[in-house]
Amino acid sequence: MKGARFKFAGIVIAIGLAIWALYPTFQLYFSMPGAERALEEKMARATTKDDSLKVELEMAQHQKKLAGLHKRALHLGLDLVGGMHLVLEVDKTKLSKEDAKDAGDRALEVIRNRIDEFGVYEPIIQKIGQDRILIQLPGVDRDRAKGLIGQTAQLEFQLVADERTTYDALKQIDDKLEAVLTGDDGEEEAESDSLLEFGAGDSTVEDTGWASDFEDVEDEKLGSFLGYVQTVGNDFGVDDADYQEFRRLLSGAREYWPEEYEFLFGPAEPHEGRDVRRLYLMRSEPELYGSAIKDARPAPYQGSDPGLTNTWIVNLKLAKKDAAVFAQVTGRNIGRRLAIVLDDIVKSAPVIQSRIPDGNAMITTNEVNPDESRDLAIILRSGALPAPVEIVEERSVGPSLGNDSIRQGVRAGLIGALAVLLFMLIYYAVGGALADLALVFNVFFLLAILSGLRATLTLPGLAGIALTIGMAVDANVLVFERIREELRAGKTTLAAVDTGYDRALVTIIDANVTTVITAVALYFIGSGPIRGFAITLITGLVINVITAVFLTRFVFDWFLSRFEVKKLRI
Amino acid sequence: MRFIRESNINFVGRRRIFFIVSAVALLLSILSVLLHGGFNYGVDFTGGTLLQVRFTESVGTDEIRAAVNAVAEGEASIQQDEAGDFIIRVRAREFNTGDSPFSERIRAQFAESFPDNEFEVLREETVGPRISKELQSKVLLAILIGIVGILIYVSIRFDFRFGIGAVMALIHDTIITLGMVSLFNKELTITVIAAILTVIGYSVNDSIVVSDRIREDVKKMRKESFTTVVNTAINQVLNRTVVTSVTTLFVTLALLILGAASIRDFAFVLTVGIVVGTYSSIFVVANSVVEWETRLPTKRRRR
Repeated sequence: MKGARFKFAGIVIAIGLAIWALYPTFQLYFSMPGAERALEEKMARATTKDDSLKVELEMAQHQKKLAGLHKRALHLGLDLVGGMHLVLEVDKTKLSKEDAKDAGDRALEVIRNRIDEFGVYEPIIQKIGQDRILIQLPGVDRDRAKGLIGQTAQLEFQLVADERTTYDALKQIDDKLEAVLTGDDGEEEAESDSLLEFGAGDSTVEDTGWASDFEDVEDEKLGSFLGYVQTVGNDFGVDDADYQEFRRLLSGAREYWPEEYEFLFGPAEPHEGRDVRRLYLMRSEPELYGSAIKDARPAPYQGSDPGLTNTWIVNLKLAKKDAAVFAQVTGRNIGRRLAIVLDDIVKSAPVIQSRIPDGNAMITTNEVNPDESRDLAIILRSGALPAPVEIVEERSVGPSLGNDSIRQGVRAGLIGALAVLLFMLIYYAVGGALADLALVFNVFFLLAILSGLRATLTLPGLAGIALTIGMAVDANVLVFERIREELRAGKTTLAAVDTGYDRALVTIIDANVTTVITAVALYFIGSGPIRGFAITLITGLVINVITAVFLTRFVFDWFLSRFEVKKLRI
Repeated sequence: MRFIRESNINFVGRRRIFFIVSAVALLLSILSVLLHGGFNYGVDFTGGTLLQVRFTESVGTDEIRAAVNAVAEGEASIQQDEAGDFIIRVRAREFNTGDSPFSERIRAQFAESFPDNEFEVLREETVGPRISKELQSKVLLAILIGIVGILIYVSIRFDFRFGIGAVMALIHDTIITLGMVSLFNKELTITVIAAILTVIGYSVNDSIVVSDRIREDVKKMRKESFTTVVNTAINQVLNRTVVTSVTTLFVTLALLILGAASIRDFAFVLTVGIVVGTYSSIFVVANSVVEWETRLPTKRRRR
């Protein structure tokens, strides 16, 4: 057996890779639900507020792990876990030609922003063509999802608190949580930590005095509340992976910072190789609303500041009646930052440079690339000029139906597969055992590759797997029938197996290619579930050919030489 | 073990009989569609709304009908499945008319008509008229691409005649499968179309195995007549054809009998398609090639 070791190594590596690819899936669907139930029970037993805060922290860790697993595990489609599939179309009938032009982008921006804030695992938000938007929200119930999309966008201008106030508030929360966890009385500790050393009074954006001190704190408090916080440029921020849990912690500690302030986050952005979100403490009461905006357009900078040459800006025009308020706000808060907040997500927080008397403001981006200014202009206009959307397609599946479907689908698939396994064993004896082995590996590899491709397993996808099982047998049947013929023709066992495989290979490939052609056609018509089916089918067929030709052949050869088989029962 | 000992059934000689069987099946299929006044299209293609609703306490279909009619003016179709869930369908005309979409109105109406009976909407599908129109053309395109793709592949790998034979078989299978969908009053949804496309792939798969063997035997059995060669080839692959169909049927039947309601139509189409596909690969593909060959022999064979 030439190259047998090499082949064997290849098979072992493939199996190892498959286990590695499937492990997160296994964890997510088999061990995590138990852990979650345990935590919920613990939560129910918690009597004091401190106790529940502790569990809350554990929950947060659990959520983080869950989010990580979701990123690596095999996805279940909306038809299996429940959730919503929506296609929206922007209604342009009431918009002027100019406004209609980027209505699709405005609507997309608003919806993406809102779903981002909502914290859905693996949502899909895509623009289809000019003015349609596809949204898929797994595991979200219908009413919440519709509420999310139905509202008009809320754009607000809010004043950002200075770094010191922000840090004080964070420290205060940290101390309280720390006290809860260690059982100490938190008050003393909070005072023992002198906060005055961090910058002076109104620190400017350039003042990074607090930042270096802050990093020391970060090290020693790793794992507790402040351990989540890092610096992102001149702002505080948290890792995007920690976003949901950090928000939970914040909401659990609402009483520990001044009432007139709120914590808001920016969108996820890349920072030093990771996704982070900036964190802002700001006055809850908005200074101005989006309705004040008359227009916002991106433009190249044409002023005299040499530092801004070639960069892009946004020209912001406010309605007359709001210009006076704006003048007042800007006049009073020079040097502070005025955040542009869309549906509670901070899209930008420019520093107020001067009093703006006439309602014509300029927001600099310091970017040579126009993208940022274009996006910001879209956001500003989306607040002023909502792009009305209409639902043109909606498919929602309740979670209970999804569960039923999985249970029944898996059971039916297993029974069908078992019947196939038994049949093959009876019909082809040794060969049947081999085909069965190939079949088990087929399904195993198929699931592993689907995990690796980050494909979505839908109900038709499950049927696809079941169908692949039926068809997986075909390749082996072709081979075995051929071997039988060759044996009948009087060939020796070894020769018969050799010729059988060689002759059958062409047929196997031809037969599978045509099925792949139809599966590809399917992929193009289908949305969600049908695509899942097509992908499963294509992957399944490819694996079929590979296992039939390499895996079973290898085992067959090994079997024949190991036991020196003279007469083959097949 | 084996189903069929070395067989030597004269499939080709009796091809007229099989042509008649196929012709009757095709005719019945077309007739069924015509008598039903076209297909029972799902909301995917007509546009409209489908709701699957489960009530905590059992409700009669008539009560549901009364409630639905209050908001849908008699346009709705109502069915109760074996789990007791109601499936309510409303065609596009009702879509989004009035102040709020149909699905909202029906929810409100159910809450009012059955105040003490909690209900859950297990599934909702709402497809706007524009989307459904686009879907129709997409589906036609996909089927066309599938068929043309197969024709091209088979023509390259084999002979144009086999390509035509395979495509004839798959059209034969598609029409009969669609006929069964119509005969059993199944809804024609995008899922059913997916199953039909799969059947097409499967049907060709079978045809290819037969064609492949004919091609091989033509080279080996130079002295025999084309008819004999084809008949031998069919007999040689007969066992394989039957075994493969049986194993695939195990799975589709399991899905059909035990699977969730939403997968059953899909499994139904696959089951029918596999039976018909197997039949056609044995009785239609090769025989039509033989028919062609006897009428218009290629030069190579005449020699």
